[in-house]
Amino acid sequence: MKEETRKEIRQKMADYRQPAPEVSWDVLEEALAKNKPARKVPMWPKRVAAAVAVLLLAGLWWQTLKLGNQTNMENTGTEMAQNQPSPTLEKQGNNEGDLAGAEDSRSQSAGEQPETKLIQIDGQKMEKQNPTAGKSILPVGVSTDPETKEQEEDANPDEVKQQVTGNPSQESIVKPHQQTVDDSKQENKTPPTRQRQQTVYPQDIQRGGVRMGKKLTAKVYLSNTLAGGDFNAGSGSVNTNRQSSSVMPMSNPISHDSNGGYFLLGGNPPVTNVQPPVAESIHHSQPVRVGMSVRYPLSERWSVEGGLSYTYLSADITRQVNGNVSKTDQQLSYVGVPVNMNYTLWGNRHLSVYASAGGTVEKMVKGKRTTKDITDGTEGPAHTESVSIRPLQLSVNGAIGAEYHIDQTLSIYAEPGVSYHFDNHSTVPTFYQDKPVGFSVNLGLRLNLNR
Amino acid sequence: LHFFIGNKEERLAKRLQGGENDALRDFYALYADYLTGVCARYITDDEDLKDVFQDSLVQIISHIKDFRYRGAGSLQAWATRIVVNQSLKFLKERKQHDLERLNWDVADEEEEEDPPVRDIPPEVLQRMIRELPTGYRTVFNLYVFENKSHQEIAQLLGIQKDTSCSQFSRAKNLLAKKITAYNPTKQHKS
Repeated sequence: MKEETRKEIRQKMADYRQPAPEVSWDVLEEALAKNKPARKVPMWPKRVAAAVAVLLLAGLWWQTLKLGNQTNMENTGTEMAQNQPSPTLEKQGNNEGDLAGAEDSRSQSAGEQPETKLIQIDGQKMEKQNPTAGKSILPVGVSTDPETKEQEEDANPDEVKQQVTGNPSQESIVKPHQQTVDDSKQENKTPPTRQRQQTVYPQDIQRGGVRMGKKLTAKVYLSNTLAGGDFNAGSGSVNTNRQSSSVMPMSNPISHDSNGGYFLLGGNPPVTNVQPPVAESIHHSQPVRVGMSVRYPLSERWSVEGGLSYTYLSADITRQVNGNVSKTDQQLSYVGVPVNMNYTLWGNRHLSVYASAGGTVEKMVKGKRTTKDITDGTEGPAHTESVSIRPLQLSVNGAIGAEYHIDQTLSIYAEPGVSYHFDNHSTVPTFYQDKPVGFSVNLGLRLNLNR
Repeated sequence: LHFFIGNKEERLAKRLQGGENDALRDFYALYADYLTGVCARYITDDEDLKDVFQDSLVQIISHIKDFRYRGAGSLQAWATRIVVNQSLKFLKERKQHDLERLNWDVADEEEEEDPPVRDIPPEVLQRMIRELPTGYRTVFNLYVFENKSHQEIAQLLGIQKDTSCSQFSRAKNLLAKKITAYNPTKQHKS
């Protein structure tokens, strides 16, 4: 057949329509409804974020209580405490194992560990606490009630319980000597902090200028992320069918090329298997992140850090359909809010080393994709389209940081760490989705402001 | 004009991706009749047509998230491919015998002139295509409307390339005869 005839028939029939048969709308609406959950996704990031916030607050409160207790004990002398029971150490053990079960055991576990032990291993104990909180972020977020208010209400009784059930031993130790201090703590929740601030720590004096003390710290940083494992895995080939079930090669017609692959299902395996109709390979560049944050000291070792970050992701996507190639350059910008707890492990006048753990909520604020079709070696015109990802991108991270104090106000730091990005079910291929586990190195300047 | 059509398509796809029921109605209003025309070229039985068309719509809706907008007409082209794939799937499952006949029922025919389609109204041409035997019709549709090469058709249907060529030739000749028979009738009527 001549090409003109082929075209003539095609043109003649191009606008041909015939009445569509009756369709079952229920079935179609059911299929459509399955597309909806993506819209609901933003709800759970909020829940998780709320859970993280509650956990951080709980951890902070817990830590404040313990440090308050410790202060009292140091002031009253350890000899008084030697034969007294302490629930605190036991609590820690429970926290590591099962946070949910901790509440019960807290009240049961009083009376086994001598107080002196508590003081000696306090440093280790606090180190362990933070990872525990980190591990618990997701389960708590999932298992608690959906509404943030309810979470907070749930958390509050727990905190109160810590205060009440966690303190009996404290009361038994301290009451004879520090009745007034303890009473004030029961009446007012803030005094422990205030009291701690007035306390002079022997170890602080030894450590010199390192402790964060009462400074508000601001920092700017730059970060570069490496994918977990073999980074080359960041570029790989995937079949477009990756989201499809076994009955869905139909997703393949998304190829923009008119010669896109048709193939048959079932019946004839050689036909279906011979040639994947659309081959897609994605090469992700390393994400680049810049940001600034403010660090707020909670104690001489603990601090909480929050801020704002900007992340730039770019990827080259190559799609191949029957020898025709399209190359897409995808650029995504994210703005995020990182929240971290930091714990100072060691330090002297110039240098300090700390551990950091927390989470980040990111929103894609700008995205575009430029595609060029290459047919028979000829490059077609580039067309650009905008990309949007509605769901928030959540991640958790842990890092070890080293900070060098240039002078009293300025320090530089490096923070190698690991982060895990949760799947936000976006259909846009991103570095975060393809490589959820990433190693990162944050480099930055930190400005220590006197409060 | 294309800009507006394209814009509309893109928005419609996004609304479908968001699960809007109204978007489903809009999609149906815009494309159902066209897609039915495509589907009917492959599937001739009305009941089968209804089933295949329904399944195609479900596939379109279920996988609308895979659709990437690539300019005006891309949504219709994408949906058309799903309809064609779904039709081929049906033929493969239910009309395997008719397709397999292609492999042995090969008749050498003299190459005739291309069918004179100029004066044939689209609905008449559609009817004539639908009257072709399943195997010939499938090859003809893939070659003419889906712009497939005989090599590709052979792969799709699991037949030899030569078989595809000769079957297409046969389909074309059959169609030409129908058209020739139609034209005098038309002239006679007029």
